[in-house]
Amino acid sequence: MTAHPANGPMAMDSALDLDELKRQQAALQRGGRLSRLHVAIVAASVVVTVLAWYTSSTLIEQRAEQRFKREIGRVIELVEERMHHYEDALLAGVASIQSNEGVVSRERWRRYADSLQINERYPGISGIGVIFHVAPDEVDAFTERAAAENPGYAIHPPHEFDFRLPIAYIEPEAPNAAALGLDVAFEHNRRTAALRARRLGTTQISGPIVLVQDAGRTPGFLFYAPYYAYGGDGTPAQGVAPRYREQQFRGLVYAPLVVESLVAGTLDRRSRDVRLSIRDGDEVLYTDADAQPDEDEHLPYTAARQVEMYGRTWTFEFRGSGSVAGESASRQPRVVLIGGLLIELMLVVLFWLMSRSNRRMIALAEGMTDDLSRHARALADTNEELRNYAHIVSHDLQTPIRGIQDLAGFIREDLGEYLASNDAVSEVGTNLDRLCAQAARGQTLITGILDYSSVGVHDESLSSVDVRELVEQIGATLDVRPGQLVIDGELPVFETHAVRLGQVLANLIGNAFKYHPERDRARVHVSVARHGAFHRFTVTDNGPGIEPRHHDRIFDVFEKLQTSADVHSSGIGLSIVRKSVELLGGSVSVASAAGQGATFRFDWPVANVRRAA
Amino acid sequence: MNPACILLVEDTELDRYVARRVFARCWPEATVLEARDGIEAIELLETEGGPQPDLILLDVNMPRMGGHEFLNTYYADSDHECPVVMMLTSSNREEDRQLTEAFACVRHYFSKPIDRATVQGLADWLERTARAP
Repeated sequence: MTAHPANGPMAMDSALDLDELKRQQAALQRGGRLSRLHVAIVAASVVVTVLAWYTSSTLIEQRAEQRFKREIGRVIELVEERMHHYEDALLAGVASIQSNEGVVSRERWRRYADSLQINERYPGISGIGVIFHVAPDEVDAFTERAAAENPGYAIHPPHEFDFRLPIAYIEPEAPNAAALGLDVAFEHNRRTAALRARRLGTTQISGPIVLVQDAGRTPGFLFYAPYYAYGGDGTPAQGVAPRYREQQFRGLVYAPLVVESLVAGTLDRRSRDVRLSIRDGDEVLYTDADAQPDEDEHLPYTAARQVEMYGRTWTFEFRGSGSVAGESASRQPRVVLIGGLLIELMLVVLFWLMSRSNRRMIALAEGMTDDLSRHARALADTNEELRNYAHIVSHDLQTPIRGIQDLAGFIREDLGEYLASNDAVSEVGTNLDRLCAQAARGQTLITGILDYSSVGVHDESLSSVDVRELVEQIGATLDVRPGQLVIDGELPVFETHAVRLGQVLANLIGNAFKYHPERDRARVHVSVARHGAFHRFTVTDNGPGIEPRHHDRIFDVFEKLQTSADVHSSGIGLSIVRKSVELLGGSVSVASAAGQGATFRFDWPVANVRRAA
Repeated sequence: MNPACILLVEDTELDRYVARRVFARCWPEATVLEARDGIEAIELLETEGGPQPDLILLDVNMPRMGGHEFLNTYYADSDHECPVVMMLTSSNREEDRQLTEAFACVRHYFSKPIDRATVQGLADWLERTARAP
């Protein structure tokens, strides 16, 4: 026995599919690597992060600067406002004296000062007092009058100038006792400011001094408001010519101030976001007490503003972070930057993980493909082996079966006289018949196996098939009467595997007649309709039908529903039908019920695919 | 029927028995010589004054020397005149036929086993060809 051609359909198909798989794998592998696209995405993300960081930090810087400037303005405004407030008190004092026609006494001044409620309404000033302008010839009279109100009152200290500017009254008296009787002309800053006030007729402040009543010896200043005697025409002295004012000058309402108290009352350190120091010329009036030198490094914003302040020029110096105290807005850009970079890092990790798992999957798929191809090859080999096996076995079985048939025939021949005689045991003849029948049945089955296993084995050339002609030939072979085989509608003419299509149709049509209880009344209809890429063949008979529960089985090898005594029915016809149709990519089905005939349908490719060649 | 000398080359005992019996029944005038394979057949043919068979019934598949080998060994490129050869086969395989295309004397293929109809046909055919020349 020689082997059959080695390439079964299975082997060819799997080889084709594997090539395609390999191509797809290569494409996947290219896609699985970290590509330029990934790099571009990460790079773009980095750019966006840096931009966001830059924008956010610029914005925050601008905002901080604005806030810093606003804060500066607010501080200066508050100081000025407070100074105006104090000025009002002094001017009110002047008004009070003027309203009494220039007469002022200790008792009156105390009442006035009480009505001011200094402690509640003017925090920051140490007190409010009156300075008299005393000419040299009036000193004794003044001292006498003052001592009458304040025992032990004396003008001090002596100085070189010929006029006196002693503090006559000061309220509240107790904390300011040291100031009573002090001649403010004794010292340069006090004196020049007083004379300036006299000359200009406006409120003035002195340069930096240390108040005599300030035990803390901190910088302070005096706030002067001059008052004048009324002229003969009754006009107030304020606003008249300087020369005339000097003549009419009577004294000053004044208030001593410690700068620290002024600032403390005006600008609570806690409600302020900037550090402040105030200078008058080179002298420092005020510096925030809690300022740390090294802290300045963290306060990037500085500014200095010069403010005209009642005859002096104060320099406000500011230093600030630009942020509201306790707020961490300045960290925002850094958070943006770090967060963005973290996202980029995660992207890189993500891409790496993705590509790694891709590679793993590809490797896995490769392994599976290899496995599959091995299995496919093994399966194809096994199929081929099985086919050869079926062929060889059935072939070799034929010989002994034929021998049995022959020998049974010889026995019958040799026993001819005996069997014909009356002495014959009747069972001998019957059993010989049975033996022959069984052998014939075995012969039929083996022929069936051979037919089945050879479907699709041999290359079969294509030829043009006129299906009508083919059906008519089958009818002629089956020796049917006219009208028993009916062709409905048009039947196609197309190029296909003619022998195999004939085999399928012959099986279906033949079965319809073979299994009909009354063959003469059998009637079979054949029709074909186009169904996509297939011709759908329909073979309908009026036979006994097939119960639905058997529909799955009838296409199996050796399934026969009728227990027919017909030894020439192998039960393999429908199996061959199914195998032939399915090898070409089609399918076969049956619709039937018991007693209602049966309809077989199968799809046969229109195009001459040589899949199963 | 006419007497004839027939050489049966067949390894299977049963097949030889069947052939012998069929010839005995249908064509008793024929002398049937038997060989179990190609080598035995050659020995028989080369015996001094041996038989000159009118017909050789030759099995294809045999141990030691099969039908084709026998034809190649004994008749190809030799002076031996090839009598009519009928090949016996258990299959109708195309390859077997192609192997004997070179031998004009191979006239026919029969599927084993030989039955009465075959033997009858052979006898008639030999008679016709014998009468024809």
